[in-house]
Amino acid sequence: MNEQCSGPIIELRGVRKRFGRQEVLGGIDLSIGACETLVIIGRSGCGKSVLLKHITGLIRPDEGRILFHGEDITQFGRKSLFEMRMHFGMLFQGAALFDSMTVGENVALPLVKHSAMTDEEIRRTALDKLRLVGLPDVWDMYPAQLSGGMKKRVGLARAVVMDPQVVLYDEPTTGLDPIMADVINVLIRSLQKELDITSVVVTHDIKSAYKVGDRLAMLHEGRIIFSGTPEETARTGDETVRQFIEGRAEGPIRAV
Amino acid sequence: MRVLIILGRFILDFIEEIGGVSLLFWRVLQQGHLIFRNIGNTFVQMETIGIGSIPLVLVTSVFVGAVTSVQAAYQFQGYVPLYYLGAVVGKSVTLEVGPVLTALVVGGRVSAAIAAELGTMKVTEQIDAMEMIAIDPVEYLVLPRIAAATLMLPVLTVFADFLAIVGGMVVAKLAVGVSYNTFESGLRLLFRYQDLVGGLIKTFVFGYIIAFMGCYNGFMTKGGAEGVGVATMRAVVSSCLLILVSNYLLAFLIFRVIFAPN
Ligand SMILES: Nc1ncnc2c1ncn2[C@@H]1O[C@H](COP(=O)(O)OP(=O)(O)O)[C@@H](O)[C@H]1O
Ligand SMILES: [Mg+2]
Repeated sequence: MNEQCSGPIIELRGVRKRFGRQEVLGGIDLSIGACETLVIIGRSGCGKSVLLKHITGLIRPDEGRILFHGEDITQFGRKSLFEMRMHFGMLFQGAALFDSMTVGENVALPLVKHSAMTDEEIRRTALDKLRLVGLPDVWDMYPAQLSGGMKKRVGLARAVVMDPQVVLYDEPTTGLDPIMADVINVLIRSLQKELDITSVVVTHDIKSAYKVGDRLAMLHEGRIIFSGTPEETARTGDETVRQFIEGRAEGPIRAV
Repeated sequence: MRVLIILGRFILDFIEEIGGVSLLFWRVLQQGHLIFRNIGNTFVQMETIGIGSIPLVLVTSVFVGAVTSVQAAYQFQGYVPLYYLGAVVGKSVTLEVGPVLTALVVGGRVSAAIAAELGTMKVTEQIDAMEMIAIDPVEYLVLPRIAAATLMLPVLTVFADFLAIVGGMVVAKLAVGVSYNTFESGLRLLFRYQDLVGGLIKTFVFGYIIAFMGCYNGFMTKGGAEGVGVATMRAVVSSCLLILVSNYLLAFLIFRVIFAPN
């Protein structure tokens, strides 16, 4: 472990957010350590995507602070936010590839916009990342021509093309067949090892959570109600967490 | 009581809408100079907005000129010599019919297309993805569209004015029996450059409105496919209404204040 992998890189303190009458985040306190892979689990609609968007400054909280390397990003203007986001990569739930561009243009775009590289270097770097996700031959295809799993892998290549410090994954395995889901899990793991990045994975896929996570946290009714290693999670006595990881309709969580 | 709640909500929504529009308007103003970093995108948009609208404008303006000619001849019967037909067609086309009808048909086409495109990008998180790779959607998506529409609408209007007058002229000969020569001298008789210029000044504003309302409604899209439909409809309705309202205000400003009759 190198030196930059100590201490927290992202901290949330008392983050609250409501949309109209609905309180989605009701005071989130969460520390994310540098180089760890944190998996946030929770039911559909519990606010996982909203939480990720707070970490990247896409949504501003009503209350609370969000620190990146100790700096409060809720006070950032557009310029500082953009500078901060250069260190972030995000894989969106539906991959969010730009469908007017080819795969190659999608992956290369961050470099074209923000790096001083030559066209040749850009092409080589982008191709390297596509190779990393196992798709060296799709450069000239359009997103509409790709399967769901391929889109996610291209999205992942785009997310890591700038060598970010932090990568955020919004339900990376949802909607994929079990084999492709595992391919993605393995990729997340290997990216983490090779590139020394901090990962935050949001999912309701408990199998995937165990597989990629150094630590699991559960978001429920706007709060983090539990946090622990996969082993601690498997042994927990918390009925709410147990119900979720075992996937039972009966328990403290009202299913409907 | 319920009426009050509905009214209150309506007023709040309206204020929120004004706030949203002002915010985007301000950001476009503030970042306007960044258009020069997005010239490539602007040319692409000029092509889709400008060149793409030509067939629509062609058909609309030829027929509008033709109908103006026939209707004017009908109203002249027994009161006004047909010598003035060219003058009336020329005046009404350059001052009013050319700019407004072009803006309305192009507005329908272009603001709908922009709202649908940006709305789809919004609901598929492509706008968020753009923010995440530190590209400003206002700079990258909005500015080129506004610049392109603002520049292309006057061009389309010149084209439309010309075609409408030609349409009127042909119909004057075929249906009314006014020769091309007579029509043309009538046209020259009352033609003023300020009519043409005044009409064209309006179209810069109309072009801005069309692209702006398309972008604004696209960005405000919520939900899925249904939300995109709603955004598209709102873009068309709001840009058409704003064109008609601003047309009056601009006509007043241009022809009562700037080129005031003395
Ligand atoms: N921009 C928004 N405006 C209003 N409500 C929102 C917005 N974004 C999310 N929500 C609401 O917040 C809740 C949590 O959404 P989300 O974070 O997408 O859930 P998930 O955990 O499935 O990712 C949902 O009820 C959703 O309707
Ligand atoms: Mg989600």
